[in-house]
Amino acid sequence: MADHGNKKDAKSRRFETILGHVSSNDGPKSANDKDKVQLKMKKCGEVKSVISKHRQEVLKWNGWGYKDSKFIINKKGLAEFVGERYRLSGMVLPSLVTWMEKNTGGDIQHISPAQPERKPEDVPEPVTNEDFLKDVSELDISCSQDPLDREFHAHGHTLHEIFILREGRFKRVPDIVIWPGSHDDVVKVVRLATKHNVCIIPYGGGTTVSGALLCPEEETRMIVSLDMSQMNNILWLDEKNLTMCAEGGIIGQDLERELNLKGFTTGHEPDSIEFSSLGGWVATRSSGMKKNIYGNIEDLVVHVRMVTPRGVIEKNCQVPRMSTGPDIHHVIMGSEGTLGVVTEVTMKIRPLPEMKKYGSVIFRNFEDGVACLREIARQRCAPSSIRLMDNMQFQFGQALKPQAGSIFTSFVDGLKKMYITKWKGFDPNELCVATLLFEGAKEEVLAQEKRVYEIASQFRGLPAGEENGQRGYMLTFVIAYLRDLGLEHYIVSESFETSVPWDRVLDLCRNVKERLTRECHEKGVQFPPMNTCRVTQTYDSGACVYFYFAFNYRGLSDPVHVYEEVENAARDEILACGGSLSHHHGVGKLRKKWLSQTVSDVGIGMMKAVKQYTDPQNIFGSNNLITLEKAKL
Amino acid sequence: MSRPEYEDILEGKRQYSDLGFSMEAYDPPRYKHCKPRAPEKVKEDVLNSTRVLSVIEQLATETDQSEDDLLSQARAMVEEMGHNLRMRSIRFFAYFLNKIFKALYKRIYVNGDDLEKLAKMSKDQPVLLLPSHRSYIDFLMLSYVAYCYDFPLPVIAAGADFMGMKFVGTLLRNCGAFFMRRSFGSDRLYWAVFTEYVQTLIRNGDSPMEFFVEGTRSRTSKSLSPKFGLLSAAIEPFLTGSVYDITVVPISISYDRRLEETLYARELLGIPKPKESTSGLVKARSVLQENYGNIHVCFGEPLSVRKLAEGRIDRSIHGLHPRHMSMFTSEEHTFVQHLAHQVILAQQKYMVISPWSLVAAVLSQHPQGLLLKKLVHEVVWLKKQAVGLGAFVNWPAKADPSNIVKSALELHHHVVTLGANGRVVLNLPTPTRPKMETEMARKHRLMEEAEVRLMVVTGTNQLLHVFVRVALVLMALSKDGSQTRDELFRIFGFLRRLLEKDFIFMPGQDKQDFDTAVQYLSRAHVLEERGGCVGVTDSGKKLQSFLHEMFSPFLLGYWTMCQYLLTASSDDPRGSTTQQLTRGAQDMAATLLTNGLVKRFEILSLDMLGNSITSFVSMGAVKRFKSNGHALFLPVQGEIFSLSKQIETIIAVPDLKTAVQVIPVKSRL
Repeated sequence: MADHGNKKDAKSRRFETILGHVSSNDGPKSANDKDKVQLKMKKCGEVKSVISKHRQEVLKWNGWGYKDSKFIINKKGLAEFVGERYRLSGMVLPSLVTWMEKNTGGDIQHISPAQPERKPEDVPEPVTNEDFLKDVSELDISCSQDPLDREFHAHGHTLHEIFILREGRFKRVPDIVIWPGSHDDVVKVVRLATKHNVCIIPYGGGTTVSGALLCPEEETRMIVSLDMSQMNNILWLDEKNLTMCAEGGIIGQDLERELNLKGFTTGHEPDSIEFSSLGGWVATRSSGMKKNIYGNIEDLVVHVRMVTPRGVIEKNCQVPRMSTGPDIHHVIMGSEGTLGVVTEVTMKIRPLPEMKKYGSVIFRNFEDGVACLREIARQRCAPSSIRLMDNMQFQFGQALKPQAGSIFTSFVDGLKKMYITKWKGFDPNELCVATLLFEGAKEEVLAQEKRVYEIASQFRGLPAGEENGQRGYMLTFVIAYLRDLGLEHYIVSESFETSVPWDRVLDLCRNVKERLTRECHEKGVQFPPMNTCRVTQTYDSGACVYFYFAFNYRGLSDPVHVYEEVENAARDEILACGGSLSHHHGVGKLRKKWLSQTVSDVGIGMMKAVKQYTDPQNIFGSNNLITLEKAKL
Repeated sequence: MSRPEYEDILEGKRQYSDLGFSMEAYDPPRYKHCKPRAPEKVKEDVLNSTRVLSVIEQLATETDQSEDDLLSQARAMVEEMGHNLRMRSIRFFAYFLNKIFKALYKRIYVNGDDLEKLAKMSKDQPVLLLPSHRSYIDFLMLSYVAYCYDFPLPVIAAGADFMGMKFVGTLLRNCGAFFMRRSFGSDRLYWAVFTEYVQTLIRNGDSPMEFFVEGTRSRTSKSLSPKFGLLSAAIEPFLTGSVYDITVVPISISYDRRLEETLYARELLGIPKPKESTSGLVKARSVLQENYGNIHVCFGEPLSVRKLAEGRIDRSIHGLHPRHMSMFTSEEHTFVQHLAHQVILAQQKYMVISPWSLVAAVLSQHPQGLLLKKLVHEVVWLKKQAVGLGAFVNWPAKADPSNIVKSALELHHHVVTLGANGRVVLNLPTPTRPKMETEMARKHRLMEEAEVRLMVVTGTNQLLHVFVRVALVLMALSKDGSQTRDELFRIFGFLRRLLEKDFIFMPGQDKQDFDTAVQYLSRAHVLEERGGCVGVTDSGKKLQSFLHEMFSPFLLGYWTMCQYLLTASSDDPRGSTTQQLTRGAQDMAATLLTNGLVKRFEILSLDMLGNSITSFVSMGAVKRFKSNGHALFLPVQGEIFSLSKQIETIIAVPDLKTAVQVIPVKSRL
């Protein structure tokens, strides 16, 4: 099987500027028995992915994102974002270093380098099930036992995992990586794994931040990492019903690019869209920033095929809704790889919007901003995305301002800054910004924009320009790269999220920040941590809040442990304030200990019962969500 | 917190003008999340709150009142309630209090360092100031101290009975007092308005909030059982995550001599208290001519509600209901009760025991008075015992003990006199000729004598919390002085339960209390193990008998109530009010005293007799029920009889046969 990734593709820009190539293959890939029902549908082709089969060729082995994109400190001691993929690429960010030093108490001169490139001998020897290997080799399915392939599949992107890559080694990694090419391949592999009692951990985009991909250290069976990346075809597109069907391994940006070329979009844009996969979205109940128009994954999914040790689970029709007992989709969505692997997904699509417009509003303080978002949600006129950043995040955005470039001139510059702060009396240390993204027909967008700004003005909010809005969304993708820069300088950082009823948003934000600060102090962190949040998603009855949190760990012997304790305390605080265990990151292993208090013991019992029936041997043995007691032999 | 370091805040002010003091710069720290608002805005916020509006809506559907009517009722309530804290008034009040305090008191001691630490903490979370309450002076004391230390002035929950006082009511309001009705039982609207008023102040942390956990002034100088309502309301914002934490500060205010001593003695005996009025206060001006010694204000170790709740309370439960609906889980109820007890126990811990209290304790065991030399000797011994148990006694190390005692006597010259013969006697009324005396006159004379004796008793009372646990252990030992540990604990448990209303014990901690007391007594060589039994050593006999004398009046009072319930009220199956019962028992006590059958005047205290009823109810010896909205009580004869018998195994009581002849069959009330 050929590798799909090539350098030219990998350089293609994302979302706003669609530069992807057109797939040349006109004939549909044979989707087996489905051919007949697809006659009236648009034919689709094989998708060439930006990401290569051996991911380490394009992606960092021990950090976030593309190998060629990262923050560095240049010779002048200034931060610079190198590479060519992003708008910010190649730009110098003159105030970033000062900002980091000021807000984490660090010093950019202090360096905590990562260990050099991994040597194959540092990766644990594979556990081998010879019978399984023999049977698999007869299948003509691509696989690898190369140590670097195996290690790449051993982790997601929690701080803990990245720290291990930078400074330690994993005790347990997958023993083999298998790249199935089709649904049928998956059925065969799962059947063999069940026959030979081999553990499977499905691998989509590898962007998990819940520890879901970590191999249980106590697992003695052979572990297969089932890498779905080669199952990335769009199988068909149905304009009449506005649906499309794709294989589970397709990466978000590839899917979106291909659909855009045909004039459609799913509208599902999680922040990880560059790297995360369709099957992963389903398995974790993901959420996209434009859910106000398009809905979250549970609203988008029309049909799912999942291969389990017990067989294939799917519905027999593709209908908008049905009343047929508990919805099996809701057993599949959020199963986090514990029941089976998602091979094919039919999803709603929409024609590309006529117009896309960014916007922003500044508020005097976070309270006003939250009240405004609440009102917009109440009136159900939220644009496709609306996010409210607190003051710290606003300032952070300012610190990420490059030296030049008209798009980056900020409204707080010069006269505008004077106007806002002196004339209008906004306190630069209190004000906060909401970023907006409108999508739709031109008149609709303009009308909606007017309405939103009118509501904002009731909460003393002032429009702050399109550029600021656009910048805000662009930064989301870049910020993920910042953690690696921090780690080079004794700064650990992480993000976490929750959902909470409207009336508790402010209290939750305040209490969680307070808790973070106090816990850090108590745990011996020498400088006050940087903590900031944004209301990143609005609903009728509540909101999703996203926290960024960083601290300088100089002087701590076990920073990851301290970090975990602090994050645990923050999660306790979230729950005490009426927040949820997770809005969209999922549970994995990281948040398992709170699941029974979240869904009740009976809820856990139900999950166990489903697992027990579907996968009694624990073939899908990632041990996410729940731990099944070992069956008596 | 170790031993508090005190400084006298009056010292610097004696040479300084009151006006100057009142014009000093005052710039206290503020809670970091506070959004400053005027008192009127607070009231507005209360009326616009979901809590109040939703109750109005409910009441409008359930009753025939209109929402407008209910809203104006709510407005009237919040107007009646609201404080009006203003800088101008603070300055006036600083001037006024400075003058008064300098005139009344020699020194006002405050542990200023701890207060300064507290000021720093007050930036991080809302603060509850919970002082002990034994005098009217408490009410203004903290505000005065706060002003002196640049600490934010508290808003103070006050009983609505102050409101009626014309000028004073307004002044208090302007100084931060807000008023709560003493009882508003099932008035849901009032409850909603009041709760919201308290909670909005705490959520926004406008000012520290001061209130008295005991609910009212303790006339007896003993701590009162805590009330939970206001504390629950004040803590709730933490439980619902509306604030990160709340700092609770137990504060002990100790007096050498209280302004109201005479008044209280009369009240305890049931001589009616004049209604709070401005003219009454003016009449009390003669009170201001006297010297009242020192005051100690001790800010105790601040308690973090969050830390106390850790692992005990799952706050996420409040995610399941709207936050304007108050819902307390049983764990939270228990938590608030424990917190309230913890506060009172902390207040007791940092109370400063005045020498008068020791003098009074000795005097009350010598009804005929005693020689100064003997008194000093006894007082010094008692002081040693108290200090051993961790009490802070105001006893200058270098001073001559007899001088300390003499100045204590001097300070209480209205109660005691040191005669030229060196004998210390109480200022008892001169006896009339017994032959001529009618029963009424006899009772009147008894009450006059009781008034003086009760002032000595309230002096003693300040000391009781120090000894109560060890005293109960020693009393639980049989007369011959030996008991198995289990039996000892059983009787200790009985006494602790019986006296629960008169003394403050942490609920559920009887074993710890017992063990700590026994451990102390063993270490102090008062108790020793003898062949599996516990007994008093020879050297411990003195302490045992002293404490027995000190605490037996309570048992005698309870016993008297038993006798009363066994005789007089038993024939009224419709039940009696507390007042009828306490008055009846008081009459019986008076008869026992006039006939010389008992010697202790404490048993005339309506407070103690009332406590006995409460205690009997919780022990199941008296049944409580409601009739026409009044609480009525009915004794359970068998239980009362057995209680009475148990008490008789612990203290000596008059011979019942003799007693029965002198006791009237029916209550005179």
